[in-house]
Amino acid sequence: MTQAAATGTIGHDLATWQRPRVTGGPFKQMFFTWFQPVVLLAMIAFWTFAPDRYATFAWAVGIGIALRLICLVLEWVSQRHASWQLTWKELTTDLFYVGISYTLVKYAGKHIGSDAAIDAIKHSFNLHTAWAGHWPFLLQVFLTMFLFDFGQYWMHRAMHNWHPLWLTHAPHHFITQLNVFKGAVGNPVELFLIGLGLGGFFDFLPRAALAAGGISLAIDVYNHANIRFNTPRWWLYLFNSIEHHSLHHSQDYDSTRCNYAGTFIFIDRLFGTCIDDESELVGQEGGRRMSIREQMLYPFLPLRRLLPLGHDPQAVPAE
Amino acid sequence: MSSPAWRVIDWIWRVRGGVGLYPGQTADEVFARIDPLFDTTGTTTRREGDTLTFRKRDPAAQDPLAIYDHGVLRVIDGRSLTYDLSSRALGFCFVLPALFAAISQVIDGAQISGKVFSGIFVALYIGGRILEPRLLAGRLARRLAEPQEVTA
Repeated sequence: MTQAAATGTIGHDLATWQRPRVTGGPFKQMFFTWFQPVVLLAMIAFWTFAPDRYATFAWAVGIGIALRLICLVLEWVSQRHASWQLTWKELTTDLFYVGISYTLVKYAGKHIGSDAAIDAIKHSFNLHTAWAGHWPFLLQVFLTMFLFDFGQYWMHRAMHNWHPLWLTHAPHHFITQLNVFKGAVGNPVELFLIGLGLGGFFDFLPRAALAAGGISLAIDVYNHANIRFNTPRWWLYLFNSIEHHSLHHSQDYDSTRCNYAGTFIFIDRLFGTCIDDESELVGQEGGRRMSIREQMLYPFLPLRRLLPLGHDPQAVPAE
Repeated sequence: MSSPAWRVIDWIWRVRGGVGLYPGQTADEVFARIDPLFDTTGTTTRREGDTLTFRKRDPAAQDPLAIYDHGVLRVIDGRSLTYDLSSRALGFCFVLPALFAAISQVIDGAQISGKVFSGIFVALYIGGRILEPRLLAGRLARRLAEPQEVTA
């Protein structure tokens, strides 16, 4: 049970929040204190200064794969919770969803997603925003990241407060442990919805989009990872983290209704939905792990209630 | 079905094997020792003499036998504990390479990613088919060897 649920208080004071530290010698301490900030700075530097022949989509994909593989290794070097240790079944399930995201969901997003819709709107109203591509590069990058995360914040918040959307998002909350690829686990409808954004209204440089993707990854790749870091307080103030996101996944439903932003936790601070706390026990319905079949069918529960289609799992209501 | 041909096919998702017992270990003691492995959410067991049958529904990730959905464990002549377990996870992983290979053929823009994931799941299946039976045998052997108070 989270502190919020147990005592009625709202999380910790960030300035005095005492969290378990990484165990090990001075090198390990230093590594897991500075890894996140150094990777973030390196990512910003790469996308700002790298020659054009390296600032490509292929490099973005390669860097993303490398960073995730490094995080997989770090889960074994500095494990956060033994109860979250990755197993073959969990890895296989996680990668199935990653595969679906990279193929079917990506295909759907390209053809019927927000960018396709925005392109149609811009074409219909003859909107031209090429001037946005002349803004300072890092401003374009930040706005790309912020616009996407701002949209994701409200979509995610709506998913926790409106039952039809909760039905698409609930499967993601039935994971019973957190690992680096767990962010992809969920119903494909939710993965599609959470990928919608408004950034397409601005014709930023293509390189800014690649940079925004890479820099966002350097911040939020840890949100589902079973890695113990000595995360700096300034990072916890600005960015989402495994601490915040593990609380978002906690088993008592009320504690899941916080920390909605994917990248910038300060958005939650602005709107009063940030709780500085963490949780080890994650999942729903007491920690029942949802099968892939049920994850795929869950959003269509109302139809299953109308038709005699077999097992009808109990849905947790979103108010 | 248990014909040799079918055993070659169901080897894809079934794990068979056995571990040796220590002298004097009875079926009651054996099943009492391995009972914690089945004392998990969503697991039901039925004991009949020297045979234990179990079934799992939505096991948590932390369940050490989460990969298996049902199975039978039997004490043979007080000398060994044999098992015959079924795993939908192994069967599912076995078909995933074909699924993603098909996606790579059907979906424009997924030619490379579909083939990459197809290859990943080939490697995962081989790794899992080798690793998981070893983990199972190791867990059972450790439970049988542990010096502990056993209450039948």
